[in-house]
Amino acid sequence: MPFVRLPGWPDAPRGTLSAMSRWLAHLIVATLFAGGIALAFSRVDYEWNWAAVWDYRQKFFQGWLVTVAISLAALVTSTLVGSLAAVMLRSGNALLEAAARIYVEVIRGTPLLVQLLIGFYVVATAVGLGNRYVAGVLLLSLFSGAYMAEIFRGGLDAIPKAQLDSARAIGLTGRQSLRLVVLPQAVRLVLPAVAGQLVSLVKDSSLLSVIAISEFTLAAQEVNSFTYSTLESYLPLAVGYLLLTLPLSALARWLEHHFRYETA
Amino acid sequence: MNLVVTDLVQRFPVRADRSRPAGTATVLDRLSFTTGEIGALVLVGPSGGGKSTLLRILAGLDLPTAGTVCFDGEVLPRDEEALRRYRRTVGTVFQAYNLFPHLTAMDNLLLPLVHVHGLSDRDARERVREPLERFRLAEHAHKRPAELSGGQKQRIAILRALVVRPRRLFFDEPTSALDPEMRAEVLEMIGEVRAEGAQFVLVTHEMAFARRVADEIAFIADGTVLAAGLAKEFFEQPTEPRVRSFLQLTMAT
Repeated sequence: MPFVRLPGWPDAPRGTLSAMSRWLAHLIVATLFAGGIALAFSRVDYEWNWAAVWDYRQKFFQGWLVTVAISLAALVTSTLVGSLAAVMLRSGNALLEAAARIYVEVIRGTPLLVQLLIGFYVVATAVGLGNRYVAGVLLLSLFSGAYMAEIFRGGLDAIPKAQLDSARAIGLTGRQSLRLVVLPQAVRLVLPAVAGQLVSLVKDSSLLSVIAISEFTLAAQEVNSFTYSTLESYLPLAVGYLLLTLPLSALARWLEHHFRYETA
Repeated sequence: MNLVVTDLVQRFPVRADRSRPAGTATVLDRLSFTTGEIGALVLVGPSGGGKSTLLRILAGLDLPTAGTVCFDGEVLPRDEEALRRYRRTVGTVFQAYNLFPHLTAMDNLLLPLVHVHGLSDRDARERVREPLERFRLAEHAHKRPAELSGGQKQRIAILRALVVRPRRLFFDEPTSALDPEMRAEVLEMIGEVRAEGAQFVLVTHEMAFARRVADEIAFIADGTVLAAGLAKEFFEQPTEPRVRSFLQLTMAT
């Protein structure tokens, strides 16, 4: 008997959960999880000092806004970078394809921390890019763009040859086929994966603290060093990121459901 | 239409696999034939014999390795841009997956009219309105391909090829992917299109339909034409032994 839902498999678990039971299940699991965390906290001998951290609420909020701004900027640029790299990967030009392939593999194969440190303190300095916010957004976009490139390339590859035959048969030019036939279908295919990548992007922006960008994570680190209240500094951090990533995850799931249609 | 095919050769590179080394496959091997002044040419023959490969060349979708195709005195060009201009003047319907799944049936019909033939959206809608009614497809115009039956999809695809007012149509096994009852509705539509005077080249395994609709038949096997000529003679007095046995097998039912 299969232990996952397989459509049409008689003795597989059924996917007919009511909205009510779903909500209830989420509630139960969330309560258990929170209870477990609370229990763990109660076991450690820790003196809570929320008052000290509360004094820095302004700093938290400003850091959070910087994270939102950086994420939005990197969202746009990483989409551009990813599109460009995806086009290069399928350009038919050996040099461009090699460049894009090496870019994607190096970025995906090395830690973001190393990329940020070398990218900012060596490359950005060498080219005279002093603005750490601009540099930070660019480096984050290069990082996320490598993942986007593979997502976009996969979307392009997923369009069946029959669709291109039809596009040619009705007399479309190559560019028209790309614009009217390939891209609209590819975009629908990759939207859920792109939304998922954006969730990662938001969290990955936390590493920008290593090049002293005053975003959300650096704010928490600073508050911690001022107040010596580690948990009170980092718990709001987790909540602040969830406020950004949970809606994005919900969007990803909605897109996956909404734009799914059979390629018939 | 009048068609003259001369020494057509089509070779494809073949990748090496466990059963053979890399090389080339010759799908059409100096294929030649000539038709009279006809309305419907039907290509028949065993699977893998080269019918569809020939049709793709006739429709301007593939370039042959060598040889020429001449429709009504015009030789098909050999560069992609000129071939694209040629494709705009003809219509092609494939076995399946003709329609664009992200567009409704209506938008599938409008797309070539607006983007290839330069009609305004209003003129394009006006152009498709009557044919949609006539072929009883108007009620499905707002649906996406995934919501249509296989037969409806093929009929919309035929309509899309038709509304640009092509010089001739090409059908590549338009019913092979369909259930029997859907085959009937698609064949009926092709029959109506023929009765209205449209000219076409059709690849099919439906021998009874071929007999009904064809002016001339070409029997293609092993990349060459084994027999070609008037449909009546082809079916009633087949001389070529392979054609005879093919007909016996396929017309037995």
